[in-house]
Amino acid sequence: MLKEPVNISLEEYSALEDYLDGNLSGDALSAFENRLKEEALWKEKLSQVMILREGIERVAMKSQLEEFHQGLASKQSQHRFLNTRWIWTAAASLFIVITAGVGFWSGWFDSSSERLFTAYYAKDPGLTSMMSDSEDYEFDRGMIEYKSGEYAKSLEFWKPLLDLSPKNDTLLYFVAMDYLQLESLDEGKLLLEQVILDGNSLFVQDANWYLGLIKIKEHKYQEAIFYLNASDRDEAEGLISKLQEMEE
Amino acid sequence: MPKDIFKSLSQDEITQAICLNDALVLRQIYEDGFPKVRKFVQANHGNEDEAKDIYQEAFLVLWQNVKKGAFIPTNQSAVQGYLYQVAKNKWLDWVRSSRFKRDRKQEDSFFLNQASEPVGESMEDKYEQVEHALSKLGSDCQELLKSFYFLKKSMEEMATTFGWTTQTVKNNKYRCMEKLRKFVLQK
Repeated sequence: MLKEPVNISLEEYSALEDYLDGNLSGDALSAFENRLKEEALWKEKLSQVMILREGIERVAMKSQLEEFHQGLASKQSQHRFLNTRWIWTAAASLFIVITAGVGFWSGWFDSSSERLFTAYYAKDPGLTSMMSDSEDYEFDRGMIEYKSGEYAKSLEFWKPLLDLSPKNDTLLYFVAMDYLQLESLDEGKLLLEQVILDGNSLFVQDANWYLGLIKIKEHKYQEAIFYLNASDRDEAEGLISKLQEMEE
Repeated sequence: MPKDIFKSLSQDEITQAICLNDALVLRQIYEDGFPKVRKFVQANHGNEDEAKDIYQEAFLVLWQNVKKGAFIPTNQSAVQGYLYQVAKNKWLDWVRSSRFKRDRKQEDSFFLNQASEPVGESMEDKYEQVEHALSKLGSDCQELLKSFYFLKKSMEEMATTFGWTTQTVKNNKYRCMEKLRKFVLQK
């Protein structure tokens, strides 16, 4: 490959790249493939363009990997710095000073709940295939926004649908997910409660999980345990143990 | 970058992100996978630099195999498992090779460029020729070709970036490719 000084015209480049990009179909694809079988020179041209393209992409990727590595090395050095003994000693002293201050217990209480919530909360990944009626398109658009992290935009698609179908459990659940991502926990909580009341919804267990997490944030640990028990998450057991320890 | 980026991506989206060289996804894969490979290499007669080289080789294998459809990643764990296995095998091949033993005796830092399969090795040579030829191109050509083939920008996007018409973009891209091809053939 790349052994013969063949000429490749601009038109030929376009045709070869269309093939490599998968832009040919039907008769055009068959004609291209027949030509490849019949003309060794055409095949050589294709190989040359293909290797150039792959080579360019690979060079750029290697350079990208170097950048990733430098970023990683810089993170590691920061991490090592934070791990040095003196800074931990200083941090420990500072901690003692701060904790001796007013409001220690309430502060600790808040941060424990917050820490647990943050540690266990992960965004629902969303759906890939949707409902089966004419609302599909709008729902899908909302789901694309949700997956892209555009929760307010996602609500713009889903809220009108929910107004039309206030008992639709899929909408109730995902609008709640939007609210959770937007940290509007009260709104999210109300919708999740409706999903749970439905009883037959496929989202009941997930709704229980997220409602449990919201209750942790509200320091209502007994209620949190109740909801977490009703979820099907593997992590629920460990989380419940931690809550029980905090209660003691 | 959020740690749960993979949780929000379906199997197809992970594959597509890798094929389109999505920097966010690739960086996360890179950063998540390196510590484990480094630990393995260091525990098996290697050092940090060698771990980096072998890891980047393995990363390229992962990337190329996803693009070819030879490996279909189902989730982040599958990606990491594959990456680790390729890196581990490459390192074990290297440690078993006579070159490794010779280099160790001479305390030579020369390293790698060794693929596990003979087919990969010959392709590697061709890619190196392209790499060498690419460095001889002017910066505009390098930028143009990188934007097309790595960043996957469209003719229209390129026209906006460079302030050209789409036909000029097409012509200039052709000229750059031809220059590159000639440099490779001259070698």
